[in-house]
Amino acid sequence: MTESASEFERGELRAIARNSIFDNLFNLMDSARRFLGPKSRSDSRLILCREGVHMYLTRSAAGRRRARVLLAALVVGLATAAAATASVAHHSTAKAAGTLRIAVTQPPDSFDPAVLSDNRSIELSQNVYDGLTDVNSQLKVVPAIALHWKASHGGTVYTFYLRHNVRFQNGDPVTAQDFVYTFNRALSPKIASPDSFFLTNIAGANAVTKGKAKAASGLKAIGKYTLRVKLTGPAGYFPALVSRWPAWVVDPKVAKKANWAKPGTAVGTGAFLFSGAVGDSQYSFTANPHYFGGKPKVHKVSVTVLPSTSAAVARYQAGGFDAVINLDSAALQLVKSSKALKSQFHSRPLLRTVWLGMSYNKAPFNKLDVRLAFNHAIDRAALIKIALGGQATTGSGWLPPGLPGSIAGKQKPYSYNPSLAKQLLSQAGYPNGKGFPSINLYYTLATGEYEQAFEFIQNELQQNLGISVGLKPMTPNGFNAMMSNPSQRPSFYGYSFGLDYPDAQEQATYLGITGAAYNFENYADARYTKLVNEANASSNQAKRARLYAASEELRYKQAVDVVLYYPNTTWLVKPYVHGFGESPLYTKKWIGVTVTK
Amino acid sequence: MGRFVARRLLLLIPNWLGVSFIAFLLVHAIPGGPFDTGAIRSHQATVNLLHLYHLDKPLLVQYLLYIWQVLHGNLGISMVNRGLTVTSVILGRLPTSAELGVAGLIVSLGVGIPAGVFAAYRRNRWLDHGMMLAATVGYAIPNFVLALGLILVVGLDLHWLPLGGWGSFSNVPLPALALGLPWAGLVARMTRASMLEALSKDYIRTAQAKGAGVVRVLIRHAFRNALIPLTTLIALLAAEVITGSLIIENIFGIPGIGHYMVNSILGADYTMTLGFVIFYATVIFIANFLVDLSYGWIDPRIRFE
Repeated sequence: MTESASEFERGELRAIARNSIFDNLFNLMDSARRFLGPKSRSDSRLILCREGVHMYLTRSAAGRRRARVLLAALVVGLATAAAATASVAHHSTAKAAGTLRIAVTQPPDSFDPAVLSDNRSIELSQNVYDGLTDVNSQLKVVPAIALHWKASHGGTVYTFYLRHNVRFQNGDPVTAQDFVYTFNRALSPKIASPDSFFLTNIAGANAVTKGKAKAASGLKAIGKYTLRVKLTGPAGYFPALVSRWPAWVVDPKVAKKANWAKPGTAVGTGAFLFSGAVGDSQYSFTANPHYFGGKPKVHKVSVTVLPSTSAAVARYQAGGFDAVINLDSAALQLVKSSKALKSQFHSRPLLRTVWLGMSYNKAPFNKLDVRLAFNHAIDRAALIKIALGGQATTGSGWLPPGLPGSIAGKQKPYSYNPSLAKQLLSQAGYPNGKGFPSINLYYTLATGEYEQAFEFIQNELQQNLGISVGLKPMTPNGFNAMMSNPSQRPSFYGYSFGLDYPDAQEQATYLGITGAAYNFENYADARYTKLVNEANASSNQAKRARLYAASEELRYKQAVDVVLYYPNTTWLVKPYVHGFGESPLYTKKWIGVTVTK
Repeated sequence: MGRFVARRLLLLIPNWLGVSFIAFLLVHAIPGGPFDTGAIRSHQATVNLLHLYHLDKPLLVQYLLYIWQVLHGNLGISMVNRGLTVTSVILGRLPTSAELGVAGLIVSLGVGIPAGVFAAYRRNRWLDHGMMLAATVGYAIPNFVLALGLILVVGLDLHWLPLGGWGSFSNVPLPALALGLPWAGLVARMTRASMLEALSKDYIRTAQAKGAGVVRVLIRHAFRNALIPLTTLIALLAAEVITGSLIIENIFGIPGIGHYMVNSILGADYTMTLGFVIFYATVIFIANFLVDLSYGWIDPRIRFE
């Protein structure tokens, strides 16, 4: 069903509004109009005190009651409406043919590949720049600027063979030397790339990040189109790493200048040029007809940053946008209330896991029975339905589904079994929760859904295990600071991790193995660490997946975490737009998008 | 007069120092720094980031370095949106916030002052009571509630004006009314009170006895004297309206300073937050300064010393 601004009549908009929280407001306005009509106004008197705002309405008792009721209704109704301020529609903007108009909620932090690190920047900039490799929406590492590559010397040397026809958007040809420059630049302490760890497998890279060397010894351009990279050790995931943003090639002539990553001066190799920005709320991109991967089918993409997605959805309905990504709970409500929106709504699992972390080496969680009891005490399916509007998959393995090595989907989630949970807790020495130390559940208050999820968990543990848990919501930065400080780290917390590249190595190495910086559970098992290290080093992808799966089975049997769910990403897109959507990592690139209107 | 101006301007420096120091301590007291994003990062990358922004130095040194940078006219680079300088964000968004602020101020004064003058003139009559009822209700309604009401009635029901956005003249009236009308209520009440006081003075009776017309008595004799207490309010209001459009900017999707500042505080963006605080402090200081200067113009009896 197509829908345009002209077809979108006032009645329909009102109907949608009526179905939503705005109901209250409309009714209220009607009552207010009646209440403040000329007849009732004439018999009201007002006395004003100079110091304050005291109002006395000398009216009949019934009138006073009416006033009180109205006032109460006004407060309640307007508070709900205010909470959903954003649901207010905007007028549609004119639509030019062949353009794609997307609404997002967060502004991108930068357009410099070595500096940017938030999802929004990545999703926009991936259309402007390219790396040696790329990750497709099936999570396979595929050629980008490098047409092919090979591993040698026991997986410690990678040789990338570049395409000969790739040019920067300013016409400069792309050579292997440009990649040497790009990698060294991203490692430089002067740039202070937050994500330089993508490149620190390269021999000599650490000396560059420490400011002790200008160039990593492991990088060498052989001729114009061959790049040889020597690593510090075998790393089967290296081709995936060089698909990420710090490795997106930049033009040395351009990137030497300060503040170059702006509209007009930003130069990449990608299918789209970063052509304009209005403050930090509107960004535009135009097609690069000379793109080595072919000419894009849309000639312009505009991205608008709005304070909330429900505001964006209203404008989307009125024809102002072609797509809205990452819907918040208010926006999901709007979708539910409209048939047209439902048919344009999409969701899919992300490479992300949400779990409850428990201190593996500290009482009471050092006992397997306690961890198992917690796992059996929470009804994950109900949690997803109640707190997340159904937009998630029940969690079993720690690595998210879709990732090679993940056991999610193959291994069943821990069953919801309160009596077994109770029995396990009693085996651990806490019958009916007696003697269980008082614990707090720390988490960061990212979204409203989160809050509800944690309240649900609190209730489950109280009801099924007799354990009372205090909830400790925190700001994201405060939570992360606390987690990274071992002396402040809580023993029970909610955590969420999304992968940056489709390789189990990231989550298993940085969050899983003994002593890892982000192993907040302090999980320590030599067998697990050995399996992960072995998988990391191998360049046989099938063998790697097997080893990670074995490590996952171990982790699952030991009930290291309460894996709650794998969240979905959600988006709305008009039926005349094809090829737009989310991949398990980020939004798909715009090169495959067509707009048939 | 010259000495007064110079002295007040010099006072701006300790004001800046005080405000920025307190704000500096407060932003650092909030748990979590700008780089505690939870993203995986190597230890060396964190060290490099902290070093780049001097966050690896003692607090006092950080403050002095910051002040030194500010004295050179550089408010620094955002710690969260690293592609943006603080000055560019403030300057880029200031025109929008200022346009909205001025429009809001025009509404509050344009509605509030005439209403107050008329109410005082028609004291204890139907017009007076009606206006003061409206003023009280107006002042009591939060601006975001008014904003939603305006959007529903004027935008959705009547289709007279666009519901949000910024850039054309038709975008201005709704947010300006939402921002200005609640303050208009306050202005009207203050104007009325001050006018009533002025109207009870002997010189009004004298003017009336001399045969001066109603308008002349009200405007030349009463209103000018009633302006003195009003001026303070108006100047503070100007600062309030220009800086306080946070919610309105969010509701109408206006890319102004307001909602950026809240995000900066939540994201522990130290440089950005301090930049906003210094900017706001300056706006409020200048508003107060202009009030002091205007006293002499309005009431020649007041001397600057």
